[in-house]
Amino acid sequence: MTIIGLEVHVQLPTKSKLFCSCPNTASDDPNSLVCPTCLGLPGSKPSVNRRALELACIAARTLHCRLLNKTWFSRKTYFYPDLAKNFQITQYEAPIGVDGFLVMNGKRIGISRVHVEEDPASAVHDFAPEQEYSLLDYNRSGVPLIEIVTKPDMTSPAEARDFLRTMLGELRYVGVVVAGEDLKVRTDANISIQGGERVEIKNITGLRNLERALEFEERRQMKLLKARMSVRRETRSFDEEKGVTVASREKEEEEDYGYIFEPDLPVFDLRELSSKMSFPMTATEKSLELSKRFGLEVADVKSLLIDSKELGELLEDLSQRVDPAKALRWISSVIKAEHYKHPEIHLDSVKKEIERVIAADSEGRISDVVAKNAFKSIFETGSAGELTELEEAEEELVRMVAEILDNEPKLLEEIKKQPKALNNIVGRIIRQSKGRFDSRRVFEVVKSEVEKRS
Amino acid sequence: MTRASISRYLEAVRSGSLDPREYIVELIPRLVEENHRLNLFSNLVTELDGCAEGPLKGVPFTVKDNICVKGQLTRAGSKILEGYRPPFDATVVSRLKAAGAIFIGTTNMDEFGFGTFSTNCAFGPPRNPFDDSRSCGGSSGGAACAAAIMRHHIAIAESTGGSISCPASFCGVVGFTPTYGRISRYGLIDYANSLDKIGLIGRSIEDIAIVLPIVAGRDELDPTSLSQPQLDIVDEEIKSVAVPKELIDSIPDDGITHMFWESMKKLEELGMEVSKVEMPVLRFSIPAYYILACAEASTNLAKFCGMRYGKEGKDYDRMYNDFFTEVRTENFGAEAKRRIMLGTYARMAGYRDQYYMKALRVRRKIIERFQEVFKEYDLIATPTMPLLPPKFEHIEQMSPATIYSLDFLTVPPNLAGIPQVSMPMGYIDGLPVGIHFMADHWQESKLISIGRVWERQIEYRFPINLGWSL
Amino acid sequence: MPFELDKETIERVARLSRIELTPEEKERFLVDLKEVLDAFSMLDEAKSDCDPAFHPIEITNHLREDEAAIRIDPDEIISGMNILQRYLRGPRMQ
Repeated sequence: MTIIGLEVHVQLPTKSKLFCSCPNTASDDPNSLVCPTCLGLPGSKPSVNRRALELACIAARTLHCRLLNKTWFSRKTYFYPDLAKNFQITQYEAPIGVDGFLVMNGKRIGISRVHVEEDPASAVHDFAPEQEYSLLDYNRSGVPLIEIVTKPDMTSPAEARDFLRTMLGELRYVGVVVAGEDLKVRTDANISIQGGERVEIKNITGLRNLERALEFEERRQMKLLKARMSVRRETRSFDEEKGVTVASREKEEEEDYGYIFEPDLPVFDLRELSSKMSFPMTATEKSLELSKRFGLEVADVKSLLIDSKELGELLEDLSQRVDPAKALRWISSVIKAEHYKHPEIHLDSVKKEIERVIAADSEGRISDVVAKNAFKSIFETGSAGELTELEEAEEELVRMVAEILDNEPKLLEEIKKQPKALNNIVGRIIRQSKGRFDSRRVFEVVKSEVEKRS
Repeated sequence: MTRASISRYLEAVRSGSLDPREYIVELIPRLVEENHRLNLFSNLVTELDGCAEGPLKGVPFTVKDNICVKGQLTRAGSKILEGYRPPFDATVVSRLKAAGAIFIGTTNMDEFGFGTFSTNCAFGPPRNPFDDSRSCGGSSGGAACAAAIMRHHIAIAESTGGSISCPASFCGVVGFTPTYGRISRYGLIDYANSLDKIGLIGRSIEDIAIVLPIVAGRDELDPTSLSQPQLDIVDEEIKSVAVPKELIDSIPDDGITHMFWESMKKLEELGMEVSKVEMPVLRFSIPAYYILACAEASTNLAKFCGMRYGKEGKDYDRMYNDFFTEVRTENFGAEAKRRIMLGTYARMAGYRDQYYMKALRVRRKIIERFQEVFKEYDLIATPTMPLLPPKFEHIEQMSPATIYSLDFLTVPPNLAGIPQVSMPMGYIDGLPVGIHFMADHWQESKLISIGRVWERQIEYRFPINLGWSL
Repeated sequence: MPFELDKETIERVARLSRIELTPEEKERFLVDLKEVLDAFSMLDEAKSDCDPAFHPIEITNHLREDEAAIRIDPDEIISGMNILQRYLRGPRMQ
């Protein structure tokens, strides 16, 4: 049986870095968003960003963690060129929150802790052929991260990936993660096969690579065990290109981080901080509210909210005026697809048209096909156009079928001989009408018109 | 009467009878000359900046070599910071400049503050102006020497375990260490962040009283400076002084002890009550201090690795561990290496609880005892150092453990972060001996008050007097 | 409380500190540090039934508002460093 635990690192969307006021944005110029503090110049001092702590509290609460009363920072000392001070200011004995969980497909995945720490610099290794040094860009140095440590509750690479996707969705909903930043998520994964040693794979970027790395490593460990060899406890890295995990090159001595309290910073009273801030509703809380209010299935609503907060807001708004179940059905399907296809269209600007179509559908006036096309049209042109109402559409369909049958009496004879020939007519009508009619309905009309004429 | 030299200087500047630039331009060559013998300066300016209009207009100031001065060589007494010129001023420096004071140079110190005699300075030790075969004390030896030889000047210094009081005592000047957090540490090259305090060394308590309000006060750039109450210097009546029995009884030098009790008699004559108190927990001060200080220092010094600033590693085409190890091995002095290793050991898994965590708890016990005593007494007093300024050849024979143990008078108040002042109380064989007054957290005002009382009945001797007599 | 400061420990501590000691230095430091730790061993006797004092004074809760600001020109800061097309040079990492 496979056992997997994750340590996930997520950058926080603050305006400034964790310990200094340097902008927390991307830049094309290396070392342009730096100052004495994030460069680790002697004499510089850190100063904690309030918003970073608030976001960490929001994350911890969203993951059902218990917030600690007091929190503080610690120095984790090790030597590496991407670490400006050769120690990282992180949290050791006193994280933000502990003992949380996330429910995924009915299963509870435990969350051991959530804490805050600073990102190291980024290093470039392939600047020039035979590069004989490393090149460092400290723009990233000091960017705030939260680290989320799970319990080893996952049992397959696919489950680990699902967990990460779900968790990021929850965090995105409350604003701790910015949409589209999933690729930047870095995970250290621990995996073992029951009875065997644990292997850590460090610094895996994104969701797909997480699954690939774990799949490879799981196979590797199984092969060893089948051959009655033992798995060595070690740290490995994931080669994205080749899709394999590799052992660390140097036989590195285990670093002793020698944690001490960060003496340049205060102790923080989290109870006071959390009482002074506002906590956004989590996706779980919101979906419970909406489902109660509008009589919808919680799981369906939650799935929509995790996917997109804006679509959830659309649902909440429209459900006050149209059938909530219809609204949910369409928003979760066609509207969502169109929304992603057309990210430049603001939902607010097309809300009215969407409402019009859903209302027509709710009142039974249009077919599904018409609705589908209408939504597509809204995102392409801004308007749903003329909605061919069902009655209208029905009359038109009957007319079309009648026209064909009346003008081509041969067809009726073919059908008498070979009943399956009816399908040809159905296909013709569908092609001619460019899919405007429901194919089942077309079949029924053709059948009934044929019967009328026999 | 000990003269208040900075206020006289400011008067002369305001009245127009003294031009600061002219004064300093004349002073510098004298300093260069004296420096050949005494080696107190790490760096002397060659050009003068202009000076702002302000309450300290024209007053020359020196800065201990571990306090950043923009564009100036700031090396913390170490080879590993060779060539480093910070791109920013420490807050204490920018406040002085804004007040019109003029920076004239950096003073020599034990490497990163590691030492009691300034003999661990990579650029040679400063020599005592009273007897140049002897130490100035440390680690702010150069700063105390500067105050001892120059009229009308203030030395910015720093103390972790007594590095302001000790050299002030050995050089016969006034060394003032405020409460931890009173003066912003932004721009101070850290030794131990929970113990470092920036302070002042000068020729009289009046000079201290003029400069302190200008450099003290909250600074957003140093969060540990944000908890201080307002600094109000008022004349306070000192009624009672406590003398810790365990400390006074441990001093081997009878001359010093005798002089101290004579001083206490003088205070009694002035109406103060002097009593011995028991503070047995203070015997744990030295181990707790050194463990905490070295633990923090070992992390602070990790950043010095041949990259980014200071001494550059020799060849980048090597794996990082080799690169770092070479530059650190070649450029840290022996005491720095000892303290880094001691500190790393005290933090290591398996030893951390026994050493680092234990020391943190003992610190609280020591602070609590101090606060109990201050509930009953205005001040605590002892001699500053248990010995006269030693000769360099004697220092060479002392083991590290011996040297650490000599700090037993200054370490307790430094560990507790309480304000303290060392002032000359007399001279033995022509060498200065200091008295050490301590007050409760934030009570700098009480120390200035006792300082004023003190200076009314003692005349300080200065061996050299550079600068005009005003 | 016996501390275990032997040659092996000194060597590990030196490696962790990225400092290389000559054999003579190892001997010398072993003696020095043993003497120091011996003197410090009396710390065990101290009562420590209290919270650790991270600072000598109470310092709590000072937080900086999340506003981006650049006070010193980054170009000025890196101009004195070993740079290649704005990257800072460092030793090999692989």
